[in-house]
Amino acid sequence: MNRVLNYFSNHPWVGLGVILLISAIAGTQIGNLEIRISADEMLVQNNQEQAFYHEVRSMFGDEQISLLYMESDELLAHDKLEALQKTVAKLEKLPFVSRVESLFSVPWVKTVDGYLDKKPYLDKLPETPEQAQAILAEARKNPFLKNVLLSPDKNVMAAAIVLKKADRPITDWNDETITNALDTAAADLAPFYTTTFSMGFPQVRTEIAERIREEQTHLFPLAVAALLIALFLLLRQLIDILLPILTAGFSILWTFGFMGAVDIPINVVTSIIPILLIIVGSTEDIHLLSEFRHGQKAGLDTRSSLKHMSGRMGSIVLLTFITTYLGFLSVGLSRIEVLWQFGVVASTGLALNFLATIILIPSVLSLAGKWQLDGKSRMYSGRGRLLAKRYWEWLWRYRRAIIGFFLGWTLVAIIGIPRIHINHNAIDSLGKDSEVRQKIELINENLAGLESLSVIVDSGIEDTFLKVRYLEELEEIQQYIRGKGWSESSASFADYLSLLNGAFQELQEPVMPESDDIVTELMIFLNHKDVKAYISEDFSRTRILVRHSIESSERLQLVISDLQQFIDQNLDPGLRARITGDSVLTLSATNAMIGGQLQSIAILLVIIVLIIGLLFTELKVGLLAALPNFFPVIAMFGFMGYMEIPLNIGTTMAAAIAIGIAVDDTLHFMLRYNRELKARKSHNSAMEHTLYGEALPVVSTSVALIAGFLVFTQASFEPIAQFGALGALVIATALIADFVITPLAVSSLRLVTIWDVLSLRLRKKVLEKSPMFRNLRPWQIRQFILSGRMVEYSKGDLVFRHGEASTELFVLLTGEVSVFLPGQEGRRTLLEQFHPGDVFGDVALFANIPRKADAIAIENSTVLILSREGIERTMRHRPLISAQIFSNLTADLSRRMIKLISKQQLKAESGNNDKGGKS
Amino acid sequence: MSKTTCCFLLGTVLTVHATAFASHDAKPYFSAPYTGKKVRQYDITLPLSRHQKTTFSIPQDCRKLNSRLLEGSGRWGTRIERRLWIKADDDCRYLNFLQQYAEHAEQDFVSNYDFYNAKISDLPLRPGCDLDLLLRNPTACPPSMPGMPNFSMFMSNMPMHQRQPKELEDCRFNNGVFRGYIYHTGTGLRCRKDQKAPGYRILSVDFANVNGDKCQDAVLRMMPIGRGERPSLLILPLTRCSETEKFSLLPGSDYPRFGPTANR
Repeated sequence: MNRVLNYFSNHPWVGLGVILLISAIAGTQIGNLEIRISADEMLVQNNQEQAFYHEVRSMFGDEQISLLYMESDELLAHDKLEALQKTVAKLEKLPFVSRVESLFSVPWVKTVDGYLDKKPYLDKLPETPEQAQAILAEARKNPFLKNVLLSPDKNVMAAAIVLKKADRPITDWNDETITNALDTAAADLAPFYTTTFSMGFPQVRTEIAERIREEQTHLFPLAVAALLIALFLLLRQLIDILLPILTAGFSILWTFGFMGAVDIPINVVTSIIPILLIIVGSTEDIHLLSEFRHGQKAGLDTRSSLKHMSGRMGSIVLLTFITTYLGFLSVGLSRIEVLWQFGVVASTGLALNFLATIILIPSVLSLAGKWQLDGKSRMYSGRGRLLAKRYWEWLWRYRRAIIGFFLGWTLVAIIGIPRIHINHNAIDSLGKDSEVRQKIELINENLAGLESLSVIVDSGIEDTFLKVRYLEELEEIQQYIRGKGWSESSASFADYLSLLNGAFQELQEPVMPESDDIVTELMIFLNHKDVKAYISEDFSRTRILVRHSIESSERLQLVISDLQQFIDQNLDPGLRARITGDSVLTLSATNAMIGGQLQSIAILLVIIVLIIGLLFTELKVGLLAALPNFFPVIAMFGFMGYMEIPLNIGTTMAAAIAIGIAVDDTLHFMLRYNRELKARKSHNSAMEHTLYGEALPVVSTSVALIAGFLVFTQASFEPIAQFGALGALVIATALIADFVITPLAVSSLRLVTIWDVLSLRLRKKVLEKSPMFRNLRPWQIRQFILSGRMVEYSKGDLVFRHGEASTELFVLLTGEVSVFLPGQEGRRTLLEQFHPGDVFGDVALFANIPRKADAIAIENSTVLILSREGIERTMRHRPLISAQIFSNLTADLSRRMIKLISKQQLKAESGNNDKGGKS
Repeated sequence: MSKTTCCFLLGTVLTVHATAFASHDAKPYFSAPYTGKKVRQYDITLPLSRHQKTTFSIPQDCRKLNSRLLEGSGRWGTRIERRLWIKADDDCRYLNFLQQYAEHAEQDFVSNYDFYNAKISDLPLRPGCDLDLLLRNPTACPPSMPGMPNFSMFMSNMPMHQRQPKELEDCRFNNGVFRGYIYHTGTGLRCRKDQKAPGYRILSVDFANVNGDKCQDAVLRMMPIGRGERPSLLILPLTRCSETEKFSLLPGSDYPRFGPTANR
């Protein structure tokens, strides 16, 4: 990564050329991008349930209808019916309309002079109000009309518009054209009815698409403005403010190109990706820019600052990109297509953003890194470090109370979690003020509703449902549904036969045939086309079509479970029944969504633990690092429970995405702490510097992210607004956790990064040659040295000073260190020079006396520092290794003692005072 | 009698009278299959084998239909298709029956009678069973003939303790429908009309000289109505030789029986 950053720092024009080339390629694909809202995409893909429903649809036809709703005191007044007749005729001519079912077309099954008459209820327009009332009264007896096209007790009537190949985009028409045509038809009836409108799922989808378009135009500038303001307030550098916007702009262009190329449309969920890229994509930029400015503050020129930025941040931004990428990608684990699409597009978008960042930032900074607004950043001031110091002192002093507070917070949140309810209903998510939703509520109130499900009963044996005992099974299920009160309309083949039987027996109302013989006689007069929606051609499989208005996924779950239980317990053993339909698939999607949510979070947390555990070579560190990221998730779910925010298509993504983002700050924090710890002996000092160093980038990225997420709260599509609120909440709590839980958690840890271990591997020969590790196997050496820490010293740095307490011993890994006896007037006497593999500082440590000499790095050196506590801990946990180490140290000490004595003898003999023994 | 023999006999009968289809003018109404519409002619598609279907236009194709039936095609198809074979055959046989006896008799005391509003007392309520016997000991009555209306189902042998004039009035069919209960009292038949009770609907009245005597006969096609009734066609051939006598059932006539349970 460092090399990439350095390359584009050195070749900025190449970088800009690459950016333009990718943009040009992406631009060619943007034409293929389209907005598409499909009901199918909100469902679980490629599962048995959906395959079964497709099979059911191909056998019985589509469940969904659009309604032309009409309300009037005189529903069947002559002028009204004439207008309706014209409108229906007009609707039937529309290319996307398969048929229109209304009182003009639904057969009134009766006998006239003993012969069956199936003429529609309104075959002739009623001439008197009495005739009209009689027709209405008869129509209300028809189970296929009652509550579906005619309110049983209110002056509400509807015409059902059955669309050709519903839910599938055809080039000649789409949801929008369908909605416009149906709305025009409804408008023609407006002068005749007190209330009239058309409503169906194309209208719902059009409304959602319309909102997406509106939100793209309203929220996008708002998100850019929010980011600009946040960056301006925090960074105050013109280039620093513009660069994140530029990288986001390019990455959005490239992402749109990618979507166009792979035919992923802009839909409810993918529509938020551009705004998300503006918000999330800026974090890596801020960290890189912040480090670049750090370098400049330290007096480095632009080129050196870029090197400093690459060295310090290259690997870290790569790591944090990976965690964020995984956070986004984890959403794609969902079996719901829109979430899968979101996961793929958002993670790819993020990868493209990262690409834009690592190309554009070094390129632009190398060309224009000096440009500044006022040259001052709010956070970099003398007071900053002091504040960090005081903050850390305060945090440490009250750590117990603070931990208690967080535990209490967590407990309260956990209590709130069971209150979370689930709602995956697209209509419900439109918001209560939505006109579409209000119309649907009117339909729900006066008719059976737009939602539907099917109970498929199958025997596998031809002609099963020509037998009364099996028809009674259907009737029993329908009676149970009616009895439970959640559906105002259920219709089956048994109902049609009842209608037919009622007509032949000249009864006042439909009655189920009493014997199989009667059914057989009735079948002579049955056209299978009339009942295709309810019975298979061989009469072995049948559908009970249930219309309902249940919006809550939880209630629907209860209702379906209850119905399935009833069926399982009461259905004839020769029959099999399965509940399917749009509602059931939506419910299945809800369950998959919840499962996916938990899976995403769990996988993400495990990945975070593993990455950080691997990064810091210890699983415990990974687990502790997960704490500040797990806490916001619990806090978020608790908040959802208390605030009655449902789990839905938007909120389900919030946790996984936010964790993926929030963990970046934890990683930045821990890696900086590790670096500071190498540079400083004291944990406290390292923590103070970490808090100071990370305050600006972490706070500024978090504030930018919160501002960005809050932009989504302005969305009119509720799941997106809720996604924004929860995303902001998670980032805010993660920010708090990163500055409270993370410091407290890591301050007690000894951090060894994978790079440290890798560097040890590089120095394997050095270590194996060291007298301290003689006769030890490589893994035993590694076990021991990982209890220490590595510190890098620049040339001239003091490793230890005369008079200091001796708490550590040192193994020189690279470079050279000399030990001097301090003399008067600053004069020093060289005692010994140490080379890679040598051990020093051990005598004073084991003698438990203060240092007698100064140790100074003669070259840039790397020193492995082993503390007394670390050695003692190894003694306790690994006695065999410790025994060998002490044996080696004793041998080394003895060897040095002999060498010292020999030197003293030589000195006495030669009078040469220039050389002495080791300290 | 085996099914094959039955089909053979039926075929023979139909072949013998095949010329009648073309030469006589009887044009009864039928219920069209699938729609139930009142029609004089309808098309019906029936299976001839597992993979072959053909469309018959009834009544024009009655002979063709009969041939296919004799070849055994009537056993192909689903339960409903097999029932439709029977329905088409029933219609053809009825037409054949009318045309077979289409010659007008010397005396006609039936065609002027309004059967659609017939008095119950004019009809032979229980063919083959005396009304008194029926009311006294219904089990002593011989079983009703299949395919014929069985009015005993409405009859009650419960004595009428009180005269209820409104209920006892108008003991007759009304526009082809009678629904209610019939009581036999010492003074005659009494009826109580009830629109929810079972009953009969007269679908058609055709005229023929079924027994070849000097009196014209009426052939009523009726259908039981009311809860629990099977909507199958019944036939009631009636005759009388004076204006004053009540109608009697033609004994021993070879009038067709309809439906899958008909004895062929």
